[in-house]
Amino acid sequence: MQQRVTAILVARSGAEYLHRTLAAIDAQTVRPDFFIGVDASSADESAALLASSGAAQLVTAPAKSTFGQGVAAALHVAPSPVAGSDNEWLWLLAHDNAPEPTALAQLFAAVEIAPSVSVAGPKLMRWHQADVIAEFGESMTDFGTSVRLVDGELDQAQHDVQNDVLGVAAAGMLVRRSVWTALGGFDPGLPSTDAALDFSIRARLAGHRVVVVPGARVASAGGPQHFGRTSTSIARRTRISRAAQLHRRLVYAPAFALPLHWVALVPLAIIRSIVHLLAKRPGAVAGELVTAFATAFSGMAVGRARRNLRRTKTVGWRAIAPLRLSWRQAREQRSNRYVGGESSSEPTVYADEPVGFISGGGLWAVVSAGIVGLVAFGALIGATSAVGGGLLPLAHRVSALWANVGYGWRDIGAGFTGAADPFAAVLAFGGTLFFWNPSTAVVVFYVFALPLAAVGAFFSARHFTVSTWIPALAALLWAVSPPLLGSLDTGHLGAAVAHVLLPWFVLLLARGGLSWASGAGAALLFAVIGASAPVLVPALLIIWIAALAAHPTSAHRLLGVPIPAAALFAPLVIDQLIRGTPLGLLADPGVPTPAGTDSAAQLALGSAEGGSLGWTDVLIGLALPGPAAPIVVAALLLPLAALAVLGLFVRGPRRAIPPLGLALLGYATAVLASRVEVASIGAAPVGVWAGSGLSLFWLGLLGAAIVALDAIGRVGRGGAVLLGVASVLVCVPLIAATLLGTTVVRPGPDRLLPAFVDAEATSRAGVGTLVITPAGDEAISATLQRGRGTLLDDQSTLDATATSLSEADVRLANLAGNLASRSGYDSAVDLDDLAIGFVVLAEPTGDASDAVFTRTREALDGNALFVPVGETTNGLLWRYSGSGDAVGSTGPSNTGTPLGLIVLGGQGLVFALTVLLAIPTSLPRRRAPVRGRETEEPATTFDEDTDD
Amino acid sequence: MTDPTEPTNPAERGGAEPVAPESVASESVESAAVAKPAKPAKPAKPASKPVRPASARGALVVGARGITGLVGVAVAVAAILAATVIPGQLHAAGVPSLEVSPVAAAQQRVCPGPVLRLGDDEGGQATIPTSIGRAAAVFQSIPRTSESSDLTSTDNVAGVAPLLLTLPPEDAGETTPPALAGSQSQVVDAGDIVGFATAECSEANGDTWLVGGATDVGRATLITISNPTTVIATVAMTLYSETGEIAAPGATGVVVPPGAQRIFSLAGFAPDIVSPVVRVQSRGGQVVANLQQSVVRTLAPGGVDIVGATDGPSRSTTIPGLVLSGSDAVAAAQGAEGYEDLQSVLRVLVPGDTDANITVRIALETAPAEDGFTLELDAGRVTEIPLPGLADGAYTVTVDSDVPVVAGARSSIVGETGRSEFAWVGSASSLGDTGLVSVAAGPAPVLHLTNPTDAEATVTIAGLVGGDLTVRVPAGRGVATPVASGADLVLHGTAGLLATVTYLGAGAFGAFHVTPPGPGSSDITVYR
Repeated sequence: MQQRVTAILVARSGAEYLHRTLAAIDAQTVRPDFFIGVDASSADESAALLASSGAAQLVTAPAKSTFGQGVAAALHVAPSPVAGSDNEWLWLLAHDNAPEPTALAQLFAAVEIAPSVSVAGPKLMRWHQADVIAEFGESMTDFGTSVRLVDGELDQAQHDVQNDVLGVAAAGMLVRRSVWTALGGFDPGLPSTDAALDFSIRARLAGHRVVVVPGARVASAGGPQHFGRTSTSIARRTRISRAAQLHRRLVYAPAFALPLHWVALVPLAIIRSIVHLLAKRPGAVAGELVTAFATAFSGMAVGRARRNLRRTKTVGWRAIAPLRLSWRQAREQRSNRYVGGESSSEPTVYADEPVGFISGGGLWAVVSAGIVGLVAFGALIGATSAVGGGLLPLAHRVSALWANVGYGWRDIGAGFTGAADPFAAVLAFGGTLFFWNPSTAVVVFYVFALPLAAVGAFFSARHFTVSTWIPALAALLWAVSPPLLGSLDTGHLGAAVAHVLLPWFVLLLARGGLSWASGAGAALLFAVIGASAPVLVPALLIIWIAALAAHPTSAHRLLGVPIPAAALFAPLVIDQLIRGTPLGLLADPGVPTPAGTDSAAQLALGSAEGGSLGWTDVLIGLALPGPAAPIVVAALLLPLAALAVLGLFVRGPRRAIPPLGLALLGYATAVLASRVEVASIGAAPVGVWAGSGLSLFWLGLLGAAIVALDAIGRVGRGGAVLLGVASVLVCVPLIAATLLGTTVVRPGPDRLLPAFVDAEATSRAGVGTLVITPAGDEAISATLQRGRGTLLDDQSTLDATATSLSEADVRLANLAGNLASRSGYDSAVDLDDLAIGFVVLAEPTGDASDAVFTRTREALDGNALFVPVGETTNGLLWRYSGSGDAVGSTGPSNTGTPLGLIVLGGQGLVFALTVLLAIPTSLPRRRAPVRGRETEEPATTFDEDTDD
Repeated sequence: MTDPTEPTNPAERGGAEPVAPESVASESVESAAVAKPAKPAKPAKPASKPVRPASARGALVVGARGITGLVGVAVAVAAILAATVIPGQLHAAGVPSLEVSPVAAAQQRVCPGPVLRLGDDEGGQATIPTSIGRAAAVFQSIPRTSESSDLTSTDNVAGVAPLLLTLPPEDAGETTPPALAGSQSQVVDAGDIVGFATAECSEANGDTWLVGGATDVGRATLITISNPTTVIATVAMTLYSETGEIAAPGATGVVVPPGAQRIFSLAGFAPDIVSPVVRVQSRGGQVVANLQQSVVRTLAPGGVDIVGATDGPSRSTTIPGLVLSGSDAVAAAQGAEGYEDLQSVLRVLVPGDTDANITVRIALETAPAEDGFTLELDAGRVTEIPLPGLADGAYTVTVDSDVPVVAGARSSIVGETGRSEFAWVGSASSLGDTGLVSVAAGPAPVLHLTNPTDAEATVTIAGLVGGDLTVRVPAGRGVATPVASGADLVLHGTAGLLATVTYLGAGAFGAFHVTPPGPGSSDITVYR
């Protein structure tokens, strides 16, 4: 019988391809009987090209029509088929499908010899690489994922044995017209991707064969999703293919499983989103979720497709099962994928190999820093907690630590409902690592802070120099540095944490443009550093903006760096803004610690707590004039300063500018921090710890010195030795602070309150203890501690930065003032309401407080409500005789209010996503394990090759 | 590698066979990728550049670097200078605090109670304190009347308990600060205890210094401790003498129940002491402590006195209202055996471990202070400094010291019958702007107002028989005003002044200071 072919070319804005395509059609050895051109509302001269071609008919399809609709439009004008004839064929082509001259002939040859074949597909080759197979047959896995059987392989005739497939691509498809009509063409629910596969499957289920024809080759510029689009993003491609897969799943599913599939759509999408993040495909997450919802509420599309399928289906799914791809085959196929031309477009950077951690002396630097750390803080070894300065023990239970994050009841003083410090989350995380006794986290951090800082500095410095010895020097000097030691000596835990993490942050930010993982890591570090030392946040933002400007091409990976920090800080920011104390956001977390005043010169010399890094005492101890201390410090820091500035004068001054800018930023931060008072404790105003800014300052100076040393090379070795010796020497008094007893940090006691209270609190956790501290002439400070005492994780900057007393504070102050006086005040009501069981009167610290101490003691002694217990290490103790089982009023926990849940959920979500993205896994694809004897395994050399 | 393949490429592509050219083309693609590392040839170009223009361009580069560096240094210097000129504080959030005015409590004062002796009239039961009669107390209060009641228990077997004065707390909106004052006096003539004893009813205290008494032969000294509060007071007595601090078992841990008066004989703790000073400290409830001294010389009664609290250790101590009368008779009488303690003395304790250099000035209260004399006193001991050769009159004694000391003074009179009587006065506390004085019944009471400040004070005395009186008290001097026995006086303008009431009559001699309300209820600043 005479076979008749109608070629249908659907074009949309494809002028650049059409020339070649039309020419190729013209060059066919077997010419199609009819040629219909379909212009799907092209924006360019496609229509004109089609018109000037040999097309018998020209049809215009609506603007948004799909490829399938274009074909359908063409069929309206096609010569009417001979009724019942199976010898009419349709040859479907898109504007970018240039068939080789013999393509149609080969296709015909294939269908002619096998009457059961109703759909035949050519071998699609890449548009610009005629020797690379773009696609050759399609299938789907057990889970319904569509798979291109061949994708980007060099054509070495290795697939030419294939014949029967589950599906073929639309491009170049030769389909029996009667089948096309019977099956209803492409499913409108599948606009592009998988439309042809779905059609093929339906053809198969209707009892027809689908084959690929190796001899027929058609060049293709892209998949069906490219139809009419100049470019598509990965996210869009993923979304379209996922939508197609979900649509097919609902269509193919047996009726009873349909509800199940429908319900599982969204949960599955969430799980798959996590996998996307782990695989560093954050762009796919939104599409995943959108398609899940879109499919779930796609309306009639699924129903229509299901009816269509039911109507035409003649054989069972079992019949096509052999043609499906097993999951294992799919993986193997994926792992064997040829990575050719188009994906190697990224420029390859040939950099010198950075020096190794051990070969570069990094290990020695870390060990040296560790020894210095042991000398400085070895006294803490074995302690259950560290106290003093800004430190207190942490809660005994991990659950209590996590209860102090988010938004809820802040159990400090009289208590209030508000946002937690972001640092509480850092503490909770650290405490969780040492879950058997969370306070150990602080002790361990103290002992290992120096080596930890050294590790970070080594890897960071390694990134900026190829020298073999500079990273080790930088590691040592970053660990043994005045800002870190100063922060540790004064109990500024947050500032020390920030110091340890800053090099990592700079490193990841510098590398952030290269991978999602480092971008997300930088985001996490931004959050942790910001939480630990909020005063650094403005500087970090400036650094971030600078990094964005420096990597404009990969800015999208860095754009989200402040997001986790923003999520962490948002509740506190809102609370502080509402209260009108925005500067309170700068307050250091932890116990408010009044610091000495710093002059600008002292800050420039690296001293955050005033003085001269402890040199005054040392000089006096050596019978030298103490006022000479600043000169000694300045002299010892001269090599650092000189090298840092030298970076501007030597080769490549441009490299020295960023670190010096960093130093300037740090110095400005330190100066401004020392010039504001944002919090208070008792009668003392509390400023912002300048050491955090100095850490940044130091980072910049060290960075500039590294640049200078790197530039002057060998000549600089003498300078480097001088730098190392002098900069370590300047820290000696700080290192020896614990030995000299000038540090405030000490091994913590087992309890914060007198043993008597502690014992009671173990059975009555909510018992309150009013701690009255004489605060000068006719002044006291009164704080309420709950249970076993207010801990480090209970601290709240929102409380410390209050500029006025809350209602509860006023009540407490009024109670304390009356308790400290011979008074007729009915204290019992307040004591019961606040569940106060004890009053502790701390010993006065100065002569000025003696009178008020005596007055308070006498008043409490004479108060019939109180029974004196006696002197304790914390001061004089009284027990409230009326203390029953009163429970202090507390507010909701961090999960107790909708707001708290939203905050916790939001923060948790942001961090979970960031962590997933930051986990450095590129998910190396495993191959299907080869079962059998070892000798049958392929040589390992091949594994290594293909892994890369 | 790329060079030889590329030219052949187009030539071969022109060939008819599709297979061969494709394989070659694919190779060329691969070879191009491999050949990429050849790029490092590129840096050779810039490397050659600096060599050529050593003179012109090199100088430019070096110059540019120099400028960059100098700009950097300038920025650094500018930053430090700018930081230096930033004024002290850019922002101070402030320290929240609350000024708490304590709710006024009921004011309480306890009078010392009746004169006591150990043993009964017959001399039996020598360790049991028994009271002699009753003391007459007067008291007044503003702005409301106060209540009086007896303490609920006493060691006194006669059962006469001290009087407790209570002024209920102020009502809301009351503007006048409430005040309460009271004093008692008693004329005793019972066997060997004869004389006149007077004392102020005082507020309970946690730390009381008592300068007076003696336990040598014929001198009996009792300590009375009353606890007007509602809680148990645990009292520790520290006894100092001319030989230093006395270890006295039983003087510490003394429990005084609420509303009780305990009475102890000083001799029980420290026998044969000539010049004791007692410090009474209490924990728990606060107490009112007094000494009661009686003197019997052989069989001749030598007088009786109740000693009130004196100020705690201070570097500057003022003892107002030391009245000397009949100096000649006293001087004549004190030569006799056992009468040495008729001599007026200043008794000074140097608590602590540091010897004190003190300067003592004695002047008539109406006269400006004169240069005094200087002494060095041993630490930890009580020293009695005789004050001989003073004419009759009311004197003010000031003691300035380089370490805090406690001081009191005693003077005696000898009556026409030869009977002697004595009185202790201690250092007094400054009054507030308003002072309340209740003058207990007694002979010829005189109110002494002494002004230790540097500014003249004008005091209005209300409640006198002749109507209100305004007196001017010059700086550093005093004014004596006779008042009526049993008068209730209200003083205004007394800020910083000291007030003492003295009595002088035939065989009757006594004095007490007017003490202001304790500091327990003044405003207090409470920080968080």
